[in-house]
Amino acid sequence: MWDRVPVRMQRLVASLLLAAIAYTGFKGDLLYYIHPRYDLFTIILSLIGSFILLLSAFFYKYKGEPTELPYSYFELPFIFGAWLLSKGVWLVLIVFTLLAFLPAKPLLSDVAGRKRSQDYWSSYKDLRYISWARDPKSINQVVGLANRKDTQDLVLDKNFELSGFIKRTPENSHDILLLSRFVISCCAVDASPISLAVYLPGWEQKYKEDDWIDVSGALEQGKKLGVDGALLRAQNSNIIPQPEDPYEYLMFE
Amino acid sequence: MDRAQDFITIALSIIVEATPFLVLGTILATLATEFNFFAKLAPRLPKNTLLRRLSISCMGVALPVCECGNVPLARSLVRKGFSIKEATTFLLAAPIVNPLTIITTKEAFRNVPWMMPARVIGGLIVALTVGELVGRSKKQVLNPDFEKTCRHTHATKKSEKTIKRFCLDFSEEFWPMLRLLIIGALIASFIQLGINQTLIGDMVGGVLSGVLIMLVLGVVISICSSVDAFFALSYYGLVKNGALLTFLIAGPMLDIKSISMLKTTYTTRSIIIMMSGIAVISVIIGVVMSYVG
Repeated sequence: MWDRVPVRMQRLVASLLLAAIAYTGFKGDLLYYIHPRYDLFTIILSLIGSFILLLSAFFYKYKGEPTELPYSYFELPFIFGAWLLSKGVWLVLIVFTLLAFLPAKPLLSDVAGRKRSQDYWSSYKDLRYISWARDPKSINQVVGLANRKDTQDLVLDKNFELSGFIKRTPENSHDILLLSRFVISCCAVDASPISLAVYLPGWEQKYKEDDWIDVSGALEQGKKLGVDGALLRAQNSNIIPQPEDPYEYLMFE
Repeated sequence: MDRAQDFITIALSIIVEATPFLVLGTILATLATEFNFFAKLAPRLPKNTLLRRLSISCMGVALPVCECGNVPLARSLVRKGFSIKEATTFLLAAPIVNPLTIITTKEAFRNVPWMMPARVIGGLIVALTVGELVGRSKKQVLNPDFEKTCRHTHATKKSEKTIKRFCLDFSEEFWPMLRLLIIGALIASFIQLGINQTLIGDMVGGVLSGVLIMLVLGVVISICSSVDAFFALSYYGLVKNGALLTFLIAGPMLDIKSISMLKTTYTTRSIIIMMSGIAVISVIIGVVMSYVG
């Protein structure tokens, strides 16, 4: 009987991991990891897979001849533990524990500083006629329109209220910060930072890097202040709690 | 502490994203085995070797799973008597002829109309050539543990076609790949955080350096083929379009999580042959298209 236990453990921990993925979906935390369009698919397949693995653990029967235990009862836990380690059960258990019990946290400025910014809209034909062009709401949308000559007029000299996390400029400016978000097209591994320069003199007295803030102001060309691209001249700003949807998710039309 | 959390977030995102596709691919592969789908398919395929392998590659059009989900299907092909060349060609081509991949590539590169067809054709060229290379190897190609399961596979008796049998076959197929997917995800996350992608622009010199950098990026950045075109877009203008094409062809075939899962099926030597073949051919295609495109 003891021969069956390790294999059943493999099936059980794999079932647990899939159940944890489904549970993450029910909690609404999948958006920390993957694009929402995969949510339903992820939850359903995880539940199906978990159920199949649970059944297989129940069905499994060792086909060999029953043998005597080759180790003493004292040695057995260590041998068993080493066996489980070699078969990867511990690895799967660790991943399950992290997924089920570690609070999910979004990527922030440290990763943003190491990843290349995306400009998803630079080669998009007819951006002017996309559904959100007249009423952009996110950093990705505003920056996308501002960066193109044929759509700049839709956003320059207009007021916007945007939220994101603070990232320092490469020059460590005390007057300008980068209001940033990560944009995801599939999962956090492809998350790319998108930033909008915000003119907020003395921002370091009120905020620090990685704080989430809400900023409203008028968008203008950044050249006057030595910034490439658009700049939001802040009129109001507030610190806010980390939003429930910390990423922006790429949707193409 | 933050760095550790970021490492965990990225690794978990790969696992959460890929595992359901692995479940789907394993379900399809197990069902195909239980119902002898591939055995029934084989006589309907063209007799000509090249056309036969092209047809098998194009099965990816009907199977919209990402590269993780294709591994169990390729294993199923081998178990059901398809040659190593055919199974390998399918494995490499399927993520690229996937309809979602085609649509997103076309979407991302609207102003480079040749990119999508070039990706499909280039992907098929690489898959056919590397499949041939691996199949011709005189030394052991398949992982010995996997090969044992191939020898013991037989047509499922009608009386054995039960839910119980399905569950047992599924879990036997699923477990080794899950383990290696996790290892691949951990390695990919580690490397992603180690590389400062903002410095890549400084490293690009001529055509060849751009192509090689995009090749390495394709290996390191384990993104699914269905959305990697948007990632490649961020390098548009920084490197030649041919270099982007190299990323799009080689990325789904060479990324770390895919390579780690290949260990369930191939020997290390075969994997090295595959990686070398994919790298060389996709670099050649990338360099040519950098001048022509």
